[in-house]
Amino acid sequence: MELIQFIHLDLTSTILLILVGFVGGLVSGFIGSGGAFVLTPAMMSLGAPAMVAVASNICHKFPKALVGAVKRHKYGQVDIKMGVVIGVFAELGMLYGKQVMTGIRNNFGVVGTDLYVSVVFVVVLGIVGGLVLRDYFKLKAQESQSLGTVRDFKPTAAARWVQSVNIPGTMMSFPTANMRVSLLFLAPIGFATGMLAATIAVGGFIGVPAMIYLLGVPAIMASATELVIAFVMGLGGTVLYGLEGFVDVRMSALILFGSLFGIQLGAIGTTYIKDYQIKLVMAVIMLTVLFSRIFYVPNYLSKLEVIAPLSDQTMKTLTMLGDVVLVLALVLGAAMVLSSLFKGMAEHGKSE
Amino acid sequence: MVNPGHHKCNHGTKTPDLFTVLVWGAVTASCYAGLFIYADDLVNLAQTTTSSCRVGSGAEAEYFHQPTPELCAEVGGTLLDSSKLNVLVPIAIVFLISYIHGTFTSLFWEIVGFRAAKQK
Repeated sequence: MELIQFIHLDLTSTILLILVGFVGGLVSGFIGSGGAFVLTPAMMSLGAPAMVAVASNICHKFPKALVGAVKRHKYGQVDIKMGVVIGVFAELGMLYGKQVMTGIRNNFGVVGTDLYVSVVFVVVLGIVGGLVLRDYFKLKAQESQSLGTVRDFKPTAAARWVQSVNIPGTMMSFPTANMRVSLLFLAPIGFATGMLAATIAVGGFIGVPAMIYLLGVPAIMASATELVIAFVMGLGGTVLYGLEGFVDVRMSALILFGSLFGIQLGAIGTTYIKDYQIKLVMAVIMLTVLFSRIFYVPNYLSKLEVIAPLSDQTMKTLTMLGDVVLVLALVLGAAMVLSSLFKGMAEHGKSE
Repeated sequence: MVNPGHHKCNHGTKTPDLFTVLVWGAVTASCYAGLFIYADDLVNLAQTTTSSCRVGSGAEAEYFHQPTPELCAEVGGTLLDSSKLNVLVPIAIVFLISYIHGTFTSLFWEIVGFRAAKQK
């Protein structure tokens, strides 16, 4: 028998959830996806067990994804077929990812899943955040050399190879993305996306870069198609986690409240800036959140008796440091997005 | 999403009328008010999607998953009836909020004056 405590909603936690949702939405709207890397740790910091934080996060995301997918489909940016195919494999990945989470919980308790989620966060944010930052410096350098031609999309060598492979019986055509790709490439991308989504509630960190760099889908179409994948697996994930009683709809709704304001403002912000500026914001937020999660890990390790027990005072200090850095990441993210928006609007106003 | 009262301002030329924004704001506020009024019931519904044991009541209630009658009695709790169909409740709620509140926020930012840059 295990205590699964939903957080107590008082005025402070309500306001914090709305604010966190707003920043998460602002970031999601601005960089395409991934507000969850702000939301999941923040919910955990407010006292929600990892499973409840992940489940409630997934639950707030899928209707938003549907709304976004429908909107962007109107602009011809969505390859529905590709989204559904990858989404189905993502669903399988999600099932497996959830099994892993449940297995860890059964063997090591709630602290075990908290540690697992934190470690995955640190590793994924470290790798992806680092890559995005490198991409930012590369694109910025290219732009200064070639006076702003970085917007042209060219498939990578890997993508050209993937598109050239012909495995009879597995080939699928995607008219919107204008390509033919073997299902054998789509399946692992979907599976990995779903597995990551079940663990940290954000699969887009694998799905979007994989579509761009491995399949050769243009970035704008990849981020739009990701919304279809997010909807398919978000709905499935909510049902899966919900059946085990982990979805706290109060928390989902409060986050949705802030998020719906933030996501639209963030999306408006993207129309005023250059592509590589989005990458800088993404990298800065990801790496700051990563830094905040590092402070929580020793506490989990101590509770699991992996390391020598830490004193209560040390645990409190580490938790406080983690919370402070997380708040810093949120403030920094919001400030960068809003300043881009205001600056862009002011310049746009002048040029008209 | 179909945005009533919003279609005419999609291209950033017209501002939605204040009345429409207020009506959608009021409907949105009612949704959230309902959520707070029924907060404890919603927690109970979520926790009883799977087998659980409740100790205490109202906002102070604690829920234990995977209970046995003995363990539940030991902590002074009550074994609750569960229904897998409860899972549909949060799904329906977030869909509804997404639609209603999504429409409102879209109109809200338009009337406040935040618009996307025009296509070059």
